Amino acid sequence: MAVLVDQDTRVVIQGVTGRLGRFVLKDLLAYGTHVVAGVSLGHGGEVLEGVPVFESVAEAVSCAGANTALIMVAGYRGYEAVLEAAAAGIRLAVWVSDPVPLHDMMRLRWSLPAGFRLVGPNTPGVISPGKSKVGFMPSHCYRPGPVGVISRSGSLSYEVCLRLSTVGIGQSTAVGVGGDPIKGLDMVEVLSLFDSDPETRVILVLGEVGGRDEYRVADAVREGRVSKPVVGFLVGREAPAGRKLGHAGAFISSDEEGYWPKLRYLEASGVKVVRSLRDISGEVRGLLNGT
Amino acid sequence: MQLFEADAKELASRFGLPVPIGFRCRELEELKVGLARLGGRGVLKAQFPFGGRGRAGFVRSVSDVSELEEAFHEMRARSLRGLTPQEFLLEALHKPVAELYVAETIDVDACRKMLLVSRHGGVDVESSGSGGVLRTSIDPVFGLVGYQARALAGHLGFRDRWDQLLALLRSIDACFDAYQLRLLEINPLALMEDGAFLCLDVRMVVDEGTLPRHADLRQRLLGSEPKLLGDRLRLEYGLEFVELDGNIGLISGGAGMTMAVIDLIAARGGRAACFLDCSANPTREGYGTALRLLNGLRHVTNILVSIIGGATLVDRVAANLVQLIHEIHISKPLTIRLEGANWERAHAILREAGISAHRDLEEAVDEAIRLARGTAGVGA
Repeated sequence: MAVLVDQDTRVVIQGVTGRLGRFVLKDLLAYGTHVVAGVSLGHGGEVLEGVPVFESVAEAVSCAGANTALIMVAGYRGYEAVLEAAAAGIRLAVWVSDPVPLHDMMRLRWSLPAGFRLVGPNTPGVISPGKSKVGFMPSHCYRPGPVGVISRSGSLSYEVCLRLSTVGIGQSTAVGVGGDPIKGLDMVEVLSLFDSDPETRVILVLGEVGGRDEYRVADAVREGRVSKPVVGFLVGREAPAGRKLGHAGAFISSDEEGYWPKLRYLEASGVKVVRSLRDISGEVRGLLNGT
Repeated sequence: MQLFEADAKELASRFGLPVPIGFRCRELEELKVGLARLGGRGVLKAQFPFGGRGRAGFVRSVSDVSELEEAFHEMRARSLRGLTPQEFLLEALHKPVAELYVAETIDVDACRKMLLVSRHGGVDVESSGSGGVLRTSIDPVFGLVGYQARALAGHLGFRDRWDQLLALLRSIDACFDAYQLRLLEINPLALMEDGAFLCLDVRMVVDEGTLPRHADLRQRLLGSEPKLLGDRLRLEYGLEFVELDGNIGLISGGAGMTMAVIDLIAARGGRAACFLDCSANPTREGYGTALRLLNGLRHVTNILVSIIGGATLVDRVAANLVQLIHEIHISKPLTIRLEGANWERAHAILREAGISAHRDLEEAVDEAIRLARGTAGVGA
């Protein structure tokens, strides 16, 4: 088991003929991900790295059996790709594009059909180590294991997973929910997926200043909706209030969205919040030994 | 990023929002012509890409040419947040009976557009407390509807003219949608003696993600001078830059990891001089711009490049750094930490060029802190 992606994941890459699309296609095939199709307008009928390219997602689904879309088109055109994937019957779309207009994301949230899952935008993607990788995270940072990782930041998740893997602690799945203020699956929804996943024994939440995602995680733990131990780590302790530090979502617009209020609320809710990168592995190991 | 008031008003007027008659000028001679056309009296407003100029004395009413000259020279001789104004808006003077506040933004938790309305507009709207600000959520399908306008008009004290308010708010919403703004703020919204509305100041915050779609907005942002350094770096080079109060110049990739390194530097006894994220432009141009910038900033004692790459292949980063180190005379000590995709090749490239680098983040941060103390000592 794992969440969102596994051996049964059959990927279509939308925007496969772009620079990043071609790079990711090779990288995913090398990892062992079942990439069954690419989509690129005007390139239908071509074959890249042995993978057929279609004109539409509908063809990728009917001809190649794709069930998961990896969307690598420019941010301002991404919403079309998401709508196309949803209409073609794709169940999960991973949308890596950045920057995506906030208005697009707001409208998409009202337009997506029930049962369709969107991860992102502004995410490196999802990886279930040893099973399937749908995104562009560096493979050597991950190994199979019992920790479910949820992160708003891509780079931070590479760093933390590398540290876990180096000391022999693997991951069931690492999900980048994305750095934007409006997103598809949010942290608390992924939390509940991990809670139901038999392979996941500890859940690690990598949060940031700005936004309210971590409060929803804290409430789920506080209200007993999560049965597994949850470890948290937050970045942005030194972020000046009211200044945007890169992630559109990491804009501290109220005091509550700052580092200390978030940390205190998480701790008071039963999340073990680690203060330094170096201490994450030890804390996770302790909980694994205890469960 | 915020448009100049003059641009925002021009765009707003296309959607039927009433704005004062005004002249946008750079030179005093043009302003004098403008003042004559306005009948000899007006308001001189310096153009900045941020708010807060009113309190700082960059908005002044003038009642003759000599006052205009004095205000112009006085504003040109001063700066706000390090910027000296280059453009001015000279507008007709108005005496409203009331100054209201209206803004539209996106409520990200509700995933809906939201209107904020207050009877107390003007420079003190933020200090008047949130009690006076009424928030109204806009239906994603139907938009703003009559009962909401009636409630808002009642809150503002003129319930009988709710239809007039509804028309205004719908124009605001149409403009907000058309340019896919992050914020559209009218403060103050003047209520005139004859019952008409007039947008005395208009503020538009643009979403960078929409710029490929809105060439017009991009042109306006590019053409607005002066610019904040962070806005210039974002628009022209795709770099995210925020200046902090420390002395270690950090060049990083990815917002989360950049924040993590800033926190780590502080936890281990140092202070970062900036948040500088190159992940949107991980090229020789991007890193070159970042290195030249930090090399030139006086308060930066030394530079730490820390990248953990996914889509950014760090062997390419290494090759770029080798070339840049030969190209630019970097006068400050440089610490490099590279990890992530293709890290082995990255370290081999740097080794061949005789440049030392770290894989371990804490090691790199400790070295940067030591170097910062050393160079600070030499300078002092």
